[in-house]
Amino acid sequence: MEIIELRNVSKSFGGKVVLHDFDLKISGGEIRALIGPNGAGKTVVLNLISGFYKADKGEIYFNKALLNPKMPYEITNLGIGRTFQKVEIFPSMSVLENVLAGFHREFKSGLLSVSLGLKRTKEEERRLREEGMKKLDFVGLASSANELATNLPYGKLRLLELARALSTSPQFIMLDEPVAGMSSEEIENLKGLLYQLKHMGITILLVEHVMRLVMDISHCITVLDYGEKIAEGSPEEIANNEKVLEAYLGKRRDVKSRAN
Amino acid sequence: MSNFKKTSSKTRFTYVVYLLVAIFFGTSPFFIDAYFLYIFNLIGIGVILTIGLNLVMGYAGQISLSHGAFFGMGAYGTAILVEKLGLSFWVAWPLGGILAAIIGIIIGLPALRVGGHYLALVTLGANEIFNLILIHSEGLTEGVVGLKVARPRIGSFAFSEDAYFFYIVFITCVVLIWVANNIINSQFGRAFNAIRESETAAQAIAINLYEYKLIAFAISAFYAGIAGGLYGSLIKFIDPTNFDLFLSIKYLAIVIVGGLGSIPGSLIGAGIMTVLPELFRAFGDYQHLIYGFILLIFVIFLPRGIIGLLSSLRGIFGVKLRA
Repeated sequence: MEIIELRNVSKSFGGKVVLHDFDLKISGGEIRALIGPNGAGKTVVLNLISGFYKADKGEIYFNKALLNPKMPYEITNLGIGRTFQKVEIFPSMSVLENVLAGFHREFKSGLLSVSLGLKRTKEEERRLREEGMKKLDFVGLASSANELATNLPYGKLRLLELARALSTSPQFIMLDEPVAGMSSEEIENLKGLLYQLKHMGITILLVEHVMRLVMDISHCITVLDYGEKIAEGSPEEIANNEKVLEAYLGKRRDVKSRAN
Repeated sequence: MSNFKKTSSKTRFTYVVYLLVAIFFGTSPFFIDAYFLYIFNLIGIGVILTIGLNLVMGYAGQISLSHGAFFGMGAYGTAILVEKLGLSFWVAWPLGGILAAIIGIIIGLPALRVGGHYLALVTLGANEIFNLILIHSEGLTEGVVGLKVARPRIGSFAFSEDAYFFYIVFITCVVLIWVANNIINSQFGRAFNAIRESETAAQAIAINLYEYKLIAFAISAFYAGIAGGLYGSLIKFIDPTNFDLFLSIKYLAIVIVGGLGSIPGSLIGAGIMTVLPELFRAFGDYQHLIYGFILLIFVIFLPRGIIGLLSSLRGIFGVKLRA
């Protein structure tokens, strides 16, 4: 069954069409990649699904429920997590606090109970801290738990953002260029994490330029160019698709290598 | 876990500082004269207002220039409930705080839909409107003439001496500092910080920006209202000029001088900025100029306030001062 479905979604900014009649179906448990040259509209798709942009036309469904009039926080509340192309962490908070902030959905104590430091609030805080350490452990940042987030190197910031997104207990997670700026070991590490997420039953939508990762990991690849879907299929199909090669490398087909 | 050690020694240091400050102020009525006791009362009230304003500005990152109105709502609310409706101070005073929180929500509902400079302007306007309402609702407020306010009493005991009154202020201060610490170390505090640092990321972790900005505003206004109720009772007479825009700007300056997003900073800021005008009393209206000058200096050279300066000097203490 599809967990996410986009039907005829269009978006334009000041007359410039950035996404045109776009359809997308992602089944539960899948790892889907969304690729395309710069400016193809990949991040636009993520922003439309997570509610940061409003679609001009078309419908977006999550588990058959219509998403598009909803606010971003409501969409996160339904179980859609995401990271950002330009890392968005909370720099003055510690690494652990960043992840704890992500437990917003879990947090049940009211203002009065918090203000008076009631026992159940303290219990809850302690439990969430343990959960938070588990998330940090998962991405390999447990040893930096009490460092200020802003002091982490770039690759670790991306992992922190992933850990924070996981704290919102998503069924479906969207990662916008998660390995940009990472070394090849770090990419291998992230690949392992993504496989583990898949085994936990989390559906993944991956926007990525690093073709090695995309080709290795995704079940299905959707290719965008100038706001239009130009191809969709298995990694092998996409690697040999003429239109895709054209979009990436230009019209003359004297290049036989894979599109990276 | 070993990496929790750093946090606990930091908190222990903060607690020791708090304890020393508490002991000094708690015993102060026994060794200081009436004039200083009055100043200490003012400092305590200033601390409550500053911490409240810091919650919304320093943590949630939303500017407010209507804290003069919230302070006034607490003072007038308490006074009117006591003088006109005959309620006990001990009932009227918390109600004054709640009334201030309600006014905070009413101002916040439209104001928090906008951000930055616009929020500053809307809250500034709200403060002026509130002041005009105080002046023109003569039936309730006696307008520009002002209202007399009685000191609270328990049975036949009246808190008429500043030394007695000081203990009300002092205990309120301690309780509200503790409450503020509980809030900022909870998910509420993290949500406020999240909104300040990245509204985008805050929404992506399911935080309803509008709801949490309103919560911050309401808590902040409640603090201001509680401070206002004490203030009216301390000076025994209130009129609209006590709660004008200058008060809002003065406390904005105090929060920045002490340090945005720091409770100890609010204590230091309120302390220094309450004592300074007493020293500059001879300058009369030029006091405002001095406030403006101090604010400019801090915004340009020490944007993290005194607490930021102290934490840059932390080598001396070996511990970082930030709660």
